[in-house]
Amino acid sequence: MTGPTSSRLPDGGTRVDRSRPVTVTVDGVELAAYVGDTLASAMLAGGLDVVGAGIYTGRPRGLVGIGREEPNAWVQVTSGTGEPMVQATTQPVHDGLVVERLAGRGRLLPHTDETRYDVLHLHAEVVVVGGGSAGVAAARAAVEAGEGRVLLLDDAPVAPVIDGARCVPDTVVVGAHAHGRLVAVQRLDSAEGGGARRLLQVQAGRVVLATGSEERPMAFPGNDRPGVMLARAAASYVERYGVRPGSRAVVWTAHDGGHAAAATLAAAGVEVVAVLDVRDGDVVTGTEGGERLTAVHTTAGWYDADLLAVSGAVTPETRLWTHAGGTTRWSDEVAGFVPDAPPQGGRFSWAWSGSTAERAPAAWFCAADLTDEQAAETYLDSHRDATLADVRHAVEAGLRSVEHVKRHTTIGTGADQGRCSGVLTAGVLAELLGEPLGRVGATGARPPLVPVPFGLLAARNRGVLSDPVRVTPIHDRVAHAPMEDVGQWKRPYAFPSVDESLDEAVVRECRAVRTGVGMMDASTLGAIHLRGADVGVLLDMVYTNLFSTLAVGKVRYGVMCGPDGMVIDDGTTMRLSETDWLMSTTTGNAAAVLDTLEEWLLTEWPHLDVACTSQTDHWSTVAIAGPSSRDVVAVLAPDEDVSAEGFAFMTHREAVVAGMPARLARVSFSGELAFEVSVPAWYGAALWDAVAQAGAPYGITPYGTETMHVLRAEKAFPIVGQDTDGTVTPADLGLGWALSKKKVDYVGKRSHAREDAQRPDRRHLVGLAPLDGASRIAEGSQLVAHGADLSATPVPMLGHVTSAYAAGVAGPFALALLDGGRDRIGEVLDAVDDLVPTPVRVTAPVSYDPEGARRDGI
Amino acid sequence: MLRIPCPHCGERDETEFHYGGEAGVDYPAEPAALDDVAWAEYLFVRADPADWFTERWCHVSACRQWFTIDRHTVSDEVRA
Ligand SMILES: [Zn+2]
Repeated sequence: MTGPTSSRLPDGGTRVDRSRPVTVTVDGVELAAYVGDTLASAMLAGGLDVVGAGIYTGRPRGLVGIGREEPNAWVQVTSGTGEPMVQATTQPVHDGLVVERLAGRGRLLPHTDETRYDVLHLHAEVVVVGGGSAGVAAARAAVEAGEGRVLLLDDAPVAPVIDGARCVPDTVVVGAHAHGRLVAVQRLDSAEGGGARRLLQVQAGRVVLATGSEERPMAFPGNDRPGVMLARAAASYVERYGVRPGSRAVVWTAHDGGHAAAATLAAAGVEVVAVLDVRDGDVVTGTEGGERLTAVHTTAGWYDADLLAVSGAVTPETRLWTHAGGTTRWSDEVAGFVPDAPPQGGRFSWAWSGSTAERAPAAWFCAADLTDEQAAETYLDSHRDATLADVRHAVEAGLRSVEHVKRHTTIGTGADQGRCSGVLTAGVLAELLGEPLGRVGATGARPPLVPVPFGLLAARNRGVLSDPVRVTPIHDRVAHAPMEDVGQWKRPYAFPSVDESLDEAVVRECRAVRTGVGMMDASTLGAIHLRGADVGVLLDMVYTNLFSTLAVGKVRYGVMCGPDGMVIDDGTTMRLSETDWLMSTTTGNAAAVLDTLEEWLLTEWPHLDVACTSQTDHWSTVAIAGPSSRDVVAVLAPDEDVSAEGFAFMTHREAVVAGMPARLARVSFSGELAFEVSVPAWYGAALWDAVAQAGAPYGITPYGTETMHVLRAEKAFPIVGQDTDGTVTPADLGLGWALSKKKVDYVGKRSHAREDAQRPDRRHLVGLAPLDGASRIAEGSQLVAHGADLSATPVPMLGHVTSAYAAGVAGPFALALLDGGRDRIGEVLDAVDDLVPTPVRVTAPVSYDPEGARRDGI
Repeated sequence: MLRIPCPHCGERDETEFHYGGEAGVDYPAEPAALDDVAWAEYLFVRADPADWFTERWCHVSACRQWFTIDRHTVSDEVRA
C-alpha cells in the first residue's frame, strides 16, 4: 500500500473525514483514502498520474476535472455487484472498493445487476436544483414567501440546511421534463458502498434551476498530457480533499478565476512558476512529458512543471434548462451560452450567482495557424480521442452545422456528454468557418444528464415483478405441467408423462379428445358481462353478424372488427336474460375489447343503456371435449338432460354441477362434442377435481394449450393475433358468412365494401401440408414459388405461415395467409425458414371433419 | 411526464391515461353514404398541427372516462 503521500496535505479538506481511513484498489494497487474522498481524489492523493487511456490512441490520460466534466477518469467497478463506466470524480470511496481503469469504454456486467435500486415519488410546490449560493437563496426566498413545500436537490454529499425546506444531498437531477417533472438519482451508499441508488420522480409546481457553472479548458498541442488540469478543479482538490495536484505549476487563464486558483495552489505549497493570462497575449504552445507533464512551452518562455492549470471560462450549466425546452444564446460577457427563452408553461426559472464583470472574450486555442501535426495532437475531446485535425477534416468535407460536426467527429458523444468539449468545439468551429459563435450555436443536450444504470430505471419492476403473473384458481391442479405465457397468464402447454416428449404428449391428448374425452382449464378466456336494455344494439354494431335476435339461453359466435374492417377479436357471446349477456374474448385481448366497447359507448353511443363489467376473474371454467363428454357431464349434472335433443349445440343453462352452482354451455373449439362448465372462481379447483373424478371411468385426459391449438387449427378456427395481424378481414379468414348483409351498419361494414376488401387476390387463410407428409413446417416461414431461386433479390413473397403443428390427424400441418390462397388449393409452394425451403401443398383450411358431423357426438 | 387534468379525478400522471388522438372526429351517421375518399378521410386523416390541438384522452387506470383537452403540440402546455 502506498502510504500518505506528499500529495495529501497534512490537514484541510472540507469533504474528507480524516478519522475514517479506507483502502481502495486500482488495478491491483492499494491506495489510502478517507471517507469523503472520491475515487479521483484518492487516485490523485495516491500519486496515480494515469487515470485512463485514449479509446483509440491508447495515449495515457490524467485527471482533468473534479466533477461531471471529467473526460478521462472512467473505471470499471469490480467489487460488490460491479458497475461498468463509472466516473471516478463522482464515485465516493468506501473500504474495499476495487476498480480497473478503462480506455474510454467499460464492459457490460456478465451477471444480473443485483444492486439495490428503488423509486421514490416526491411532490413539492417549489423544487430547487443545486445547493450553491443561488440555490440556497432561491429556496430561502420560497420558504419566506410561504409557497408551500420547498425541496432542494443537491449533488454534493452534504446538502445545505435551510429552515422550512427539505434538502436532499447526493442527488443528481438527470432530466427536466414537461409540466415540472424532474427525474433524479439519489446515491444512498456514499460511505458504505454497494451502489444502492434511488430514482426520484419529482413533481414540482415550479422549478428553480440553480445548476451553477462549469469550467472549460482551452485547446493547444499536447493538451491531453497527464498533469494538464482545469484550474478551478486543481484548486478544489486542495480545498475539498486536502490533496495537492502537483508540485510545480503553470497557471494559464482567460479570466480572473484562474488567478484565484493560482493563489489557492500557492497557499497549499504548490510552487506556481508562472501565471499566464490570455488577455496579456500569453498562450501555451506545447507540452512535454510521458506519463506526466514535465515542461510547458509558452509564448512567454519555457517552464519546468508537473501541473498546467488551465481555465478558458466558466459557463452556466444549462443542460436541464434545455431538457425542459428552454433556449440558450451566446453571451460575450459571460463567454458562454446562457439561458434565453424559458421553457414554456412558466414552471422553470434560472438562478445563477456568477458575475460577468470580470470575464474576457472567449478564448479557444493558442493559434489559428497550427500545423497539421500540431492540430493532430490538440485534443478537443480526449474522451472520444478527437482532435482539432478531426474538426478541420469535417469542415473541409463541407460540414457546417455543429450537430453534423459532432456526428462526424464523435466529439461530445461520450459518457461525459462532452462537458469539456462542447463549447470549445463550437468556438473552434466558429473560428474555422469565420462565423459568429451565436450563429454556430451549441449542440443540444438530452436526458439523462449523467449515465444511469438500466437497473435503476427498472427499480423493483424486475424479475417476477416486471409484469404481473396471472394464474387461474385451477392453477395448483395443473402447475406440474410445462407452462406457456399467454399474455400475463400462465397456461399449461401439455401434460407429458415422465417418459413422453412434449410432441408425444400433444399427439396423445389430441387423440383423447378426438376419440374419448379431454378436459382443459379455460378460465383465462376474457369474460365481459354486459347489462342493459340496449346490449343487442351495441352487439349488432360491434359484431359483424346479427346478435339482437339471439334468444335467451342461446350462444352465438361473433367476429369483431375495427372501423377499418380488420379483425380485432372473436368469441362467443351468450344471452343470460333479456338484459344480461356474457361475452367471451380471446385470452390476451380481454382488456382491449373492454376498452373498445367502453370507448364506443362513451364517445359515440352514450344514449345506449349498456354497462360493461370485466368478469374474467369471476369465473373458473373447465372445457370437457370429446365424444364421451356427454357421459361425463351426465355424471356431473345428473339433473340435466344432456342428450343431443335436450341440450342443443350453442345453448347454455344454469345447472348444479357436482353440487356447485354452475353455467353449462355447449360450445366447441375443437369440432368435437364439447361442454364448458363455469362456476364462481373460488370453486375452480373443486370443479377440476370433480370433472377428473367423473371422467376417470372414461379415461378423461387433461390437455394443454398446444393440444387446443392443434384441434382448433384442424377446424381452421383462427386465433386472433396469431393467424391475424391487423391486415386481415373476416372474409380473408373464410368467415364471410359472419358478415351481415341485412344490418344497415356494423363497425367495419363500410370498409368491407371497399374494392380492395373484395379483391380476389387478397391474402386468404389456407392450410398447408408438407409434400413428403413428414417434414415439420416452421411457424413464420415465408411462402414462395416452388423451386424459387432464394438468392434472387427480392424473392417474390406469396404469404407466410401463421400457425404450424407437428402432429395433426394426418401428420404435420400448418395454417398460412397466402395471396389469392383460396384459388391456389392443390398448388405446391416452398415454405422458407432461414433459407431452407420445405415443399408444401396448399390445402383447404379445414383439415378435419369439414362437414361438421362430430359436434353432436359420434 | 405530462400532467393530464382529468375532469373527474384532477391532474394525474400521463401514464394513467390512454391517448385518443384528435377530438371531434365523429363516427359518420351514414357510413354507406360516403364515397371511398370520404370514408378514408374519416378512418385515417387527422390534423397534426404544430399548435394548439384539441385531443381525446381516457383515464383508463382510474375513472375510465373519456374527455378532451387542448394541448400545445410544441410546448406540451395543456388547457383543460
Ligand atoms: Zn379520471
